[in-house]
Amino acid sequence: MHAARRRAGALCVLLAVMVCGTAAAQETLRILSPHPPAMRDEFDTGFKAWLAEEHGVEAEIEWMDQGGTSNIVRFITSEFLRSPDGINIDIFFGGGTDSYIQFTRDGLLETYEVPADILGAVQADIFGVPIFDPEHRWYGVALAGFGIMHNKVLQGLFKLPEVKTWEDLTNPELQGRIATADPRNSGSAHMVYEIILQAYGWDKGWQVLQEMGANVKAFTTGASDVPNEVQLGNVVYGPVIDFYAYAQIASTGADKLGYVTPAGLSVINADPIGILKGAPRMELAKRFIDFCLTPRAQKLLMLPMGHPEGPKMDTLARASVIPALYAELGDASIVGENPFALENTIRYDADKGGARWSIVNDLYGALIIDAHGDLKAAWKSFAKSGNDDARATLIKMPITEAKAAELAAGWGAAENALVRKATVSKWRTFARDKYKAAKKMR
Amino acid sequence: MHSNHSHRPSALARWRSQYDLNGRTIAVLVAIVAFFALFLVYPIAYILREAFFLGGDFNIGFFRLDRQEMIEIWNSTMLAVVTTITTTLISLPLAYVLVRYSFRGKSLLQGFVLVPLIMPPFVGAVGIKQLFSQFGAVNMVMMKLGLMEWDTLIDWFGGSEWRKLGGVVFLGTLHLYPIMYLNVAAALANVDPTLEDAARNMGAGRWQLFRTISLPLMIPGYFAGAIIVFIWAFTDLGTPLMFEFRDVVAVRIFESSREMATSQSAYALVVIVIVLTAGFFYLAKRMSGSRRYEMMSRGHTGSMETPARGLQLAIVYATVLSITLVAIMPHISVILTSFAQEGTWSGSLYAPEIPLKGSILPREFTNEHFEHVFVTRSGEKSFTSEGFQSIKNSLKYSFASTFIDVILGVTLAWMLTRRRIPWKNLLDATAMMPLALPGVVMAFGYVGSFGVGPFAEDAIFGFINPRVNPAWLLIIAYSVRRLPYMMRAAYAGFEQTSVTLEEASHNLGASPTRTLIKITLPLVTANLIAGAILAFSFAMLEVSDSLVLAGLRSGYDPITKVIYEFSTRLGDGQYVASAMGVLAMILLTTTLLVAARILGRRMGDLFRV
Repeated sequence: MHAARRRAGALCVLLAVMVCGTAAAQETLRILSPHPPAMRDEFDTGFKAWLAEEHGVEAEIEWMDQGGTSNIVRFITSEFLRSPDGINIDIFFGGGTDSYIQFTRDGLLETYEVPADILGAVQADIFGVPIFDPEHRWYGVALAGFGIMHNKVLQGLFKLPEVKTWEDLTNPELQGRIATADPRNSGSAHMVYEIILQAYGWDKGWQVLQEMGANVKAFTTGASDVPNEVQLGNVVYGPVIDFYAYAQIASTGADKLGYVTPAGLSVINADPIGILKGAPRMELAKRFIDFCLTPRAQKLLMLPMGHPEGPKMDTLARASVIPALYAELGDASIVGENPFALENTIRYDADKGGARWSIVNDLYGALIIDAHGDLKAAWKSFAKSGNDDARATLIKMPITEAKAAELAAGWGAAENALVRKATVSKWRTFARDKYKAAKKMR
Repeated sequence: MHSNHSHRPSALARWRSQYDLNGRTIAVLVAIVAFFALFLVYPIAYILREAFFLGGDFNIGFFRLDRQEMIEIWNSTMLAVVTTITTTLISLPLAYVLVRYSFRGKSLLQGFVLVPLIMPPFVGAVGIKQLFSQFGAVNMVMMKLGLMEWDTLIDWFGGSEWRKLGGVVFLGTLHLYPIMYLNVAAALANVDPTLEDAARNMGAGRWQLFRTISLPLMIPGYFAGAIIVFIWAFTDLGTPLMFEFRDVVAVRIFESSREMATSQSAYALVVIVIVLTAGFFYLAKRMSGSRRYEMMSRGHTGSMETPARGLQLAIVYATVLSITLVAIMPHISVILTSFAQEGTWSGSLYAPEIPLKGSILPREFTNEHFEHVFVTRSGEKSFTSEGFQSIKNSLKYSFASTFIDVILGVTLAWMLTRRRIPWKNLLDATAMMPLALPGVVMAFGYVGSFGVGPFAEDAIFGFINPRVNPAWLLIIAYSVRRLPYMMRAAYAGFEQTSVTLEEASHNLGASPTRTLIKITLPLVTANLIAGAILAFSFAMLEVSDSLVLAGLRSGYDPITKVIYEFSTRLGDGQYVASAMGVLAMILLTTTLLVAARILGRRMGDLFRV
C-alpha cells in the first residue's frame, strides 16, 4: 500500500517535471498570422538568420493559430476588450488591408517608422490604394490579387462555359459547380465579396453575390479548401486568392487547373504587418518588421525554392512590394505578372471595406449561407421558368448601402450584441421568406 | 412520537448515523469535492454568469432562440438519435455473437472489433472524403463497371446537408460502435449462467431465454453505452467540422467562441445544450437505473459459449467480418491518402482516360508526406518538428489524465456503490456531468475562468492559466471529460458484483481497504481495464478541448490539433494530416498491444470481460 502510494507520488512529480520541461529560454516573439505555414516557416528561419547577422541577437518566434483572418480579427478585438493595454501578442501578420484599417481606427496598432534606408525601396501605394499606412502603423509585405480558379479537365468533360468575370459565375448552368468560403471565417473570401460589391456597386453587387451563391455547391470553412475542392473535382470553379491557385497549379499542372483574374474587376490588395498595442517585445517586433521589408525577405516571396537567395522549403509565389525587384530578378522570379504594371480599373476603397467588414460578413452569412437550401431551390425554379419577377424577388435586399454603413459603426461592440443578434436573425427570416416566395413564382 | 423522548441523539449525530462516515471517508470526499468545485462547478458558474448577465445586469435576451439556432439544436439531436440507432444495430448482434459463440479465430475477430478506436473519426473523414468524393475511387470503380455515368456521379458525403449528415453519422457510428459493444458484451458476459441454466431446465426456448433473461440483464450495460454514444454524437465537433456539416450546436459554439468578449450568444447556447444533455441523460438513467439486477455468483463465462457450427458459423463470420470490413474503410483510406502523390487518387484530373485497374488505388505513391511530419521550420529532419512534438505532447497528456481518471473513477464508483454517503446522487450526477458538457464548452469555461477570471494573473495559481501554459488544463480537461467513462466502467463492475462476497470478507476480519484490494477490485478488473483503455485512447483522440485550449499558445499542441491544422492546409495538407493520422494509429495500436502484453493476456482476451 505504502509502496504503491510512494510510486504514485513519484509518478506525479515525474509528470509535473515533464509538463514544465517545455519552457523556452530566449526572448520569444509572439506572432498571430493567417499566413500559410510555408510563408511562416520561410520568414521564421530567414528572420533568425538576418537578426543574428545584422544585430547579433538570437530570438525565437511563436506562431499562434486562431484560424482564418476573420477569426483572428474577432479574436484580437475580443482579447483587447478583456485586456485593453495589451494582449501579450506582439505582431499581427497578413490578412489583407481592411483588418489593419479597422485596427488603426480602434487604436490597436503601435506606430513604428521603419528606417528610410529600408522603406525607401517600397512603393507607397498601388492605383491609389496604400501599400503602407502613411502614419506608419502598418506596412504591406506582399501583394495579393483575387480571381477564379477552375478545373480544366472537368470543364471540358461537362462542356461548361469559360468563366472570365465574377458575373459569369451567376450563369444558371453552373448550379452546383462552384465552391466558395464562408466570409465569417475567411478573410480572403470576404475580400472577394467586398471586391464584387465595390466593382459592381451595392445593389448589382449583391445580385451577383446572391446568384453566384445560388450556384454554390458547398461553403467551405477556410479559403484554402476551395482550391482543394476544385482539384478533387467536387466543383469546377472557385473564387480564390491568386497565390492559393498558383500553389495548387504548380503541384498539379497548368494543363489541368487554370486561374483567371477578372479583367478590370479585380484589385491588388496589400498583405500587411503591424505591431499590436502594448507589445511586450517591442524592439524585437520592430526588427521583424524591418526584416519583412528588406530585399532579402522580399526575394523569399518572389524566387523559387532552391535559388540561393530564395526560400528553403517551399515556393511562396507572392508579389513583392518593392517595384524595382521585378526588373532586378527578371526571369528568376516566378511571379509572372508585375502588379505595378497591370491596368487596373477599380479603385478599391479600403476605408469603406474596413468599416463594413463584419456587417458584410453577417449579411452574406444570413442571406446566402444560412438560407442556402431555400436560395438554391428558388434559383433552380427561376432557371426553369425564367420569370423575371421571381428573379427580382430572389435578389431583394433587407438593407440599403447607407443603412448598412450606419449600422456598421457600432456593429462589433459588446453592448450591441443583442441588437446584432436580433438583426441577423431578422435577415435570416427575410431571406428564407423571399426565397420561398420566389420559388412559387413560375 | 420522537419529540416525546427525553433522551434523543443530536440532529447531527442522527444524520451521521445514517452514513458510513469515518475520518478517511470524509477526507477522500473533501478532496473529490474540491476537485469538482474547482474544475467543474467553477467553470460552469462562469458560463452561467456570462450567459445571464450583460454588463452587470440580469438579462435573458440571449435565450430567445432564433430559427437558425433551433435548426442547429434539431440537427444535433437528429445526429445523436440516428447515430445511436445505427450503433445499436451494429453492436447488439456483434456482442451477442462474440460472447455466446466459440469459433476459430474468435480472439482475432474480437481484436478487430476494436480497431475503430485507434483513430479519431475526424481523421477518418480526410480519407473517406477522398474515397467517396465525386471523382473518388468508389465512383471511378462504379463508373468503370458501368454502374454510373460521368454526369451522374454522386458526391456521397458532400453537396447537400443530408449527405453531409450521412457522412457524420457514417464515421460517428464506425467509431462509436466498439464502445457500445464493450458495454453490452461486458454486461452480457456478467450474466450468471446458472440463471440461464435454470430457465433452460424449465423449458424456455432460445428466443424466450434471450428475451426474458439475457436481454433484461444486459439493459444496464446497453444504456451505459447508449448514453455515451448519444451525447458524444450530440456534441461532436471534429467530424461535423470535417464534413462541413456546420449547422450543429458544437460547431456554432466553436465558431462564436472566438468572440468571447463581444458576443454572449454562445454562452446561452451552451447553457441550453447543458440542460438538454442533462435531460437526455436523466431519461436514459431512469430507464436503466430503475432496474437493478445482481448476480449471486460470477460463473466462468466460458461455460456459456456454444461452439458455432455449419450455417451458424457462416452467419457468425459474415456478421463480424462485414462489420469489420466497413469499419476499417476509414483507416484504409487514410493510409492510402498518406502514401498518395498529391492529386493522383482522384479521377478529376485524369477523366475520362482512366483504366478500371487504375481507378482503385492512387496512381503514384510517395513517402514524402511522412517526411514532412518530421521536418522542422528550417527544413531539417529533427525530433523537434511540429509533428513529432505533438506526438510527445499527446502521450504526456494522455498518460497523466488516465492516471488521474483511474484513481478518481475507482474511488468514486466504490464510494457510490459500497458506502452510504450523503448526497450520493448529487455526487454521482456531478461526476457524470462532463458527459453533458461538450468539449468546446468545458474548454471555453476553462479559458474564461482560468484565463480571464480571478486566478489568471495570480502569482501562485497563475501557472494554470492556459495563456501561460495550456498543458495543465489540457490534462485536467482530458481527465474530467473522460472520468465518467472510467467511473461508469467501475460502477457497472461494482454493481454487477454481489456485495455478499465482500460481506464474507468483512466477516472473516478483513479491513475495508483489504477487502477492496483483495476481493472487489479483482472482480471488476476487466471493467477497470476497459475503462482505463477507453480513457487513454479518448484522451489521445480528443479534439474539441485540444482545438480550443491549445490554440492559445503554440508548442503545446496535441496530435489531434496538429492533424486538424494540417488538414486545412493548402496543397499537401490533407496528405500530411493523413500521415500524422497513420502515425497516431500506429501509436495507439502499440499502446493497446503493450497493455495487453503487460497484463499477460492476448489482445482478444483483454476485452473478454
